[in-house]
Amino acid sequence: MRVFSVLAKQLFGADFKKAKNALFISVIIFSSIFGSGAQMAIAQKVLFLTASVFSAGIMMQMLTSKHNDEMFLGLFSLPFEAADCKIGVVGSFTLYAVLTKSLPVLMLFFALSRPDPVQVALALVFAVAACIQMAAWFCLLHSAKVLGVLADLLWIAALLCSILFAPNLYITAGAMAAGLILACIVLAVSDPYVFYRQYSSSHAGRKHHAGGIFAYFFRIMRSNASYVTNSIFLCALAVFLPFLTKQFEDAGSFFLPVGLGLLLLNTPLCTMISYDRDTEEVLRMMPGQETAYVLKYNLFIFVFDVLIELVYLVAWHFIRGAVGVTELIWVLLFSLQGSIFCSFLEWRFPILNWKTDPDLWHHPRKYIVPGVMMVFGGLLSLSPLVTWIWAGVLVLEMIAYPYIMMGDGRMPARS
Amino acid sequence: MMKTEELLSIKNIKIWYTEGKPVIKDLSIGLYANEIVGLIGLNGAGKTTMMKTISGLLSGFEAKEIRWKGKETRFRDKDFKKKRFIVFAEDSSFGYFTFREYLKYACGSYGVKAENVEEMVEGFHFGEYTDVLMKELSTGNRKKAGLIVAFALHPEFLLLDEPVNGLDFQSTEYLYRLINDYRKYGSVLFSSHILESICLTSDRVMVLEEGKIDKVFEGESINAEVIREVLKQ
Repeated sequence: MRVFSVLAKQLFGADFKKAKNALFISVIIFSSIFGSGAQMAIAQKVLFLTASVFSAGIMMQMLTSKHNDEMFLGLFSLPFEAADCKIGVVGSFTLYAVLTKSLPVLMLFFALSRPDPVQVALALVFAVAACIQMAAWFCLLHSAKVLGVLADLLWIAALLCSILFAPNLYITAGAMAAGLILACIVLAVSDPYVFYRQYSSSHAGRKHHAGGIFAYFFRIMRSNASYVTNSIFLCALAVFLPFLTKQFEDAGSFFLPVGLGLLLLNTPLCTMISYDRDTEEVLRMMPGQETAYVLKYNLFIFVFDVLIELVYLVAWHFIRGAVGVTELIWVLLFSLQGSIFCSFLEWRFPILNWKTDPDLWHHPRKYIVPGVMMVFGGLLSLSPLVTWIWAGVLVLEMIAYPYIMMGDGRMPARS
Repeated sequence: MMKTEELLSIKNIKIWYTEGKPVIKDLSIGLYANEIVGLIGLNGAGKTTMMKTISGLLSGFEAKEIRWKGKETRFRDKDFKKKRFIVFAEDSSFGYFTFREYLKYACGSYGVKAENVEEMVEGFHFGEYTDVLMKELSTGNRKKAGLIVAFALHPEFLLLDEPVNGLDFQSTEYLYRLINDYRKYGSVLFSSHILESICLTSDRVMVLEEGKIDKVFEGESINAEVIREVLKQ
């Protein structure tokens, strides 16, 4: 358990402060929602699906993080027992993913839907099992290439089917148990070095044609799967949302702008400055970055937001009915306002104290912009006048933008 | 070296990461125009902390006075920013730019035209890597990229934090030449653990110890053996 204790200390901090904080937050979430009396029926399969898919997703982000190189360098250069290493890596990552990320989400579900103790226990077990299985899928993928991909796909499909279509809980639990046993076997025979992957594979890489800052942003996107995946996911959501709200035929004027607000949840894209702390430091050091970098970063987010919002509008047009000029103006307003808010938060309040990628991508700050924009969406449905007032405010924001971003003394405190 | 106009003057600066626990307790430092100042000190003495503060990266500090060419300034002042550039000891910033793209970007930010780039690329044996993404470069080559950009921008005040670390011996010697020749553009403040590298280039050598300038060596006393002997005592 030597490796486990070393990694757990690195992830949670010397006195396990992060674990204590996560438990505290989970208790607060549960007690505040439970105490408020709010209730919502959540299907058992939705609960188990969230517990499994969300936890597996976090585990995937942790395993594929490019920052693991730094964390693993010392560990893998020392002599170690293979089993101890694998248990340490998978165990500490699982504990971190479930405790700090899945538990608060599950507590929200538990407080709202009030499931029986068996369902609560199973949801937690499923979260842990999903993380361990994700580690096994990761090993298969990186050791068996094409066969690994096929095996992973079959395995994931079987697991999802058992959650979604199994006639009773025993079959779902049985499938999860079988998956867990299989994962333990895969992990037992896997090489621990699969977790230590060198991303800079070549010191004399491919030559590139000269490009500017936008080429730089696109290269970041292309090199990080999460950026692309998240944008694709949002496009899928943009198509799916009009279907989801179809049952509320009369409330289209409310749901359309609220959906525009929700679709601004492009987390990795909106944490580009926080994600690269070295560049963030150099940006602070160099003069004129408010326009040279941040303004262009703002434009970059704007372009992506417009694209996703347009997908939503087109989908709405075909599924729910015709959209007009007002809705097109809304797309511009939402995209522009969202990108201004995001770049402002990134420049003025970057998230710098993260340890793993999920810490950054699931930071509560990510809900601020879509949350505010959804409220704006609600306001838009009240009166057509709101559109024009907002447009006027936006013009003022754009004029003030360089002044808001510039100046000294407002930069975040660093340590 | 004959002392000319005072370029940067910092009086009684205290720097901390955690309030109540200063890393630098009471430091005063003055740099003259066209002067090369070497900074030595043990690990944790506060060399990098001081450089990062001058670069405007740290906000936990208070100083009695900060003057640039006799006028009061602030480290985050836009005009002051344009006058100085820092090469960090470890830097993997702008990994998705090639060296040439980064150089163009930095020149645009500083509003200057790069000078002597091809000569430095050749001097550092860096020609093969100018169009490769910086994240794909080795530590030494990244350091070279940062140094070439720094010297090509020719700021009035250049801060080099451990510039020799990671460089091969040919590049190290070339760097000494660049630093020595830099007097015609401005001043350099650079830190190093290698006493010889400091002595080969500096007009003054400052010893930073426990957050204070403990000793200053000038003129003929700048000799690695002499400094070593004094520091032993």
